[in-house]
Amino acid sequence: MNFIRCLAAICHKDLLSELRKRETLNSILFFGILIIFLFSFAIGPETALLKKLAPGLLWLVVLFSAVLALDRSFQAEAEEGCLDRLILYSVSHRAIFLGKLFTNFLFVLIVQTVVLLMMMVLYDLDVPKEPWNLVLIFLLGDLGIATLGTFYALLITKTRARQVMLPLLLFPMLIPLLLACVFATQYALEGDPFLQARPWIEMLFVFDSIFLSACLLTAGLLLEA
Amino acid sequence: MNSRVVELTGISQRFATHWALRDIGLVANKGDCIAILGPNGCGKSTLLKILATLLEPTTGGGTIAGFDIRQNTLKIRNQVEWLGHELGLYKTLTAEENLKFSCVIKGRKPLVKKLREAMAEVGLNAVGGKPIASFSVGMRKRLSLARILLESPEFVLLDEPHANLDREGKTLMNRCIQNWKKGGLTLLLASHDHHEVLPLCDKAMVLNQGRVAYFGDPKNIPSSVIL
Repeated sequence: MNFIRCLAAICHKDLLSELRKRETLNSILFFGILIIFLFSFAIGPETALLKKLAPGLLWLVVLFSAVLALDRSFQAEAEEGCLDRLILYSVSHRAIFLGKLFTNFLFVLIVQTVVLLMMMVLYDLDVPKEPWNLVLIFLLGDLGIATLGTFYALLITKTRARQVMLPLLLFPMLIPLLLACVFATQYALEGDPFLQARPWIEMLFVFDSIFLSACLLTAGLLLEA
Repeated sequence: MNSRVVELTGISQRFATHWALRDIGLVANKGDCIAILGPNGCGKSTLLKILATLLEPTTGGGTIAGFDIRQNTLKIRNQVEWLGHELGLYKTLTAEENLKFSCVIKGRKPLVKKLREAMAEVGLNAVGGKPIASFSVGMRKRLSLARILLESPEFVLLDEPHANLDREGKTLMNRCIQNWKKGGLTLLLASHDHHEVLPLCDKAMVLNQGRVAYFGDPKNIPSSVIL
């Protein structure tokens, strides 16, 4: 009960701050939309090619936008000694980590949804026949990005070259997730008559389970460091 | 709680190659108010951070409220309140929301009446609904004081308690310290300005380059060890 209350308090505080500042969500949404436009200019007006590349572009846009949100997730805590204060509250370290993770997950999910809708219009993508498959892929993919992203954001909170370090550490670790997300999304958008997305979705599930468990086990050490 | 609240022996703290503290021993009983004095960079804040369990000492050990400072940090944190240089307040939240957050996260119901009483006590009741981004450093410090007033700690650590406060704020801080003393709380006040903290304290520790230069009655501090 205590754990859930702390987790909810941290999420509520972060979302309230975001609602007031509208800094993170606005910037990552505009950044995401801008990249879609840039990609479409770079690739050209060929709709068939845009459709073919859409799953890869979608996940790249989400990944790049997510880095902006993830980078800021522990900034407010570190600036005014709030992280030390949270530690002094004797709050469960896992509750702090999960609270931050949930907020980041929500931001990534919002960006993903908006970017997909924009791509459907700009790249002439068809509405998938089995949208629940796509929803599941998004949830698992975004959870993986948010999990590792929150972990690395916490790891580099006190380092000086924070903005450079985050993508350098995060992107190589996310390559398996990116591959699984792109292939699964491709099959899901095509309707997936032969259930080819399934092994990729299973891979996403395994990836999330492993990294969420590992991050929860080590988050305490990072917070105390 | 035992009458002995703090018992530290041989505490040393090293940052890279620099020793911030060397072989510090400290004993504080329940109700003691101890001033930790010394020039900037002598290790006052480092010692307070060790006492708040925010830093693990390089060598040495001891107990706070009967709990080992290396093994039982969570139990110690439940009984310690800390007011440091960084106040740990969220700029985007209002004064009232900041207090509410600390109550909720500590597992207590944030009663609006109590929050407003605490804010009134530090003279912030008129601005309770404003985001603290618009507050001066002194006002933020008062808000941090209100946060401590809402808690019921056994042990309070104040790092430069009078810094950034106007005369009224300093009077308020002194009043709070006197009330905590009357309530039997153990207090540690770190400051470089002995004129402000010595009248409030029963014992004094003077640090110089990370070592204890004096520990004892504040009235008997040799002039050679104090600035």
